[in-house]
Amino acid sequence: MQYAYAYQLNGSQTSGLDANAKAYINAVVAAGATVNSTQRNAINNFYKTGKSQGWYGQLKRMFLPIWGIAAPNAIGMISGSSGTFNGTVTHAAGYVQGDGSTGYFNFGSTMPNDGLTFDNGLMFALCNQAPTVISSYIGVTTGSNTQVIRAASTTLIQGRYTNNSTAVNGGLAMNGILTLASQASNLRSLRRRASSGVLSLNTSSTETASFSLSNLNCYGIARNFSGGLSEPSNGRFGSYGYSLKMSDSDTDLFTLALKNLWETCTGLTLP
Amino acid sequence: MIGFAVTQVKAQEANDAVALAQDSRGLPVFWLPGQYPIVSGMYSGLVFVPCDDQILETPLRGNPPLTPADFPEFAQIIDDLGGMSARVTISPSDITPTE
Repeated sequence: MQYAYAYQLNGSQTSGLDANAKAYINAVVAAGATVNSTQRNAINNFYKTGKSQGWYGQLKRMFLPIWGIAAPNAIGMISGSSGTFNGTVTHAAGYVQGDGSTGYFNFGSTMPNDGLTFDNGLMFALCNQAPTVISSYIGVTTGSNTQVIRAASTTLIQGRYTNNSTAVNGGLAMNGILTLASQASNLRSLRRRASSGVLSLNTSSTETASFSLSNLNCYGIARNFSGGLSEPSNGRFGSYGYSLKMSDSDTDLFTLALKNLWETCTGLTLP
Repeated sequence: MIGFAVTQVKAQEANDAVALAQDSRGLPVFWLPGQYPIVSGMYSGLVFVPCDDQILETPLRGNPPLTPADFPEFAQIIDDLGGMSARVTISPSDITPTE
């Protein structure tokens, strides 16, 4: 019994875990991360909660760059595949931080290839320290076709899920877990989860004719602008990703699970 | 910002070499120095490849983590960019586009 317990604590035993949790933990450990028992339980709880609550199946790409090392930080929690860090990115315990000039993360995937459409998608970013510059948290743009969560200024969070200039402005809500969902052709929802709770920042009911989302790779810590880097951020990010659409209630369940995952794994507190 | 101001071809070759160093070990390409068109300043028209201390000390993989300089390909890649003494300093505004 004592041997089995010690074996579990050293991070090399992952039996009894959710299969996806086990695969993710094994991958990040192989890449150099140390996953303690608290973190392992938190990761397991995240997957199990998502599956029992039903939102896990919507997730397409999700990254948890908390491990302080590039390789494990680049491993996808859903796809298992790795994205690519470019430029100057600080890999700290609990988050990554760009330099606001060169640093960004290339998901290596596009939203439309993962099934997102103009009326069915959600993007998210966990920002634990707001940027001090105009910058994007996650996104992609081809011409006027934009899917992004960005700091339009240092006091204005903005979401765009559009093929025109339609923006959903969320005011001074620069950190926390930010989500932008396209729930229907005429419904965009920008929400924020903070330590104080969850809040709808704004919605848009502008009817949108069908269009295809930008088919360029999605970037985190910045935005892919027609194949080039745009709006690199110097904020701190503990997670980012995208999914098929979720209702507001499911979004709130997901962001609560993400908050619990990130806080438990890092020992940090969401703003 | 400190790094190399080189031609597009040189910048691509450097990034390709870094990618190959990962791919040849059976790893996904999870890190690149990047390449950024220089749009203003005295190096306008060239491409910037970051190479400051923070880049050189990036914890890449493993426990304890390896840094770029720990890979045997590192010296050749730097030499192909002109050597460490060829690095220049540019302003972030020389490369940073905003909407």
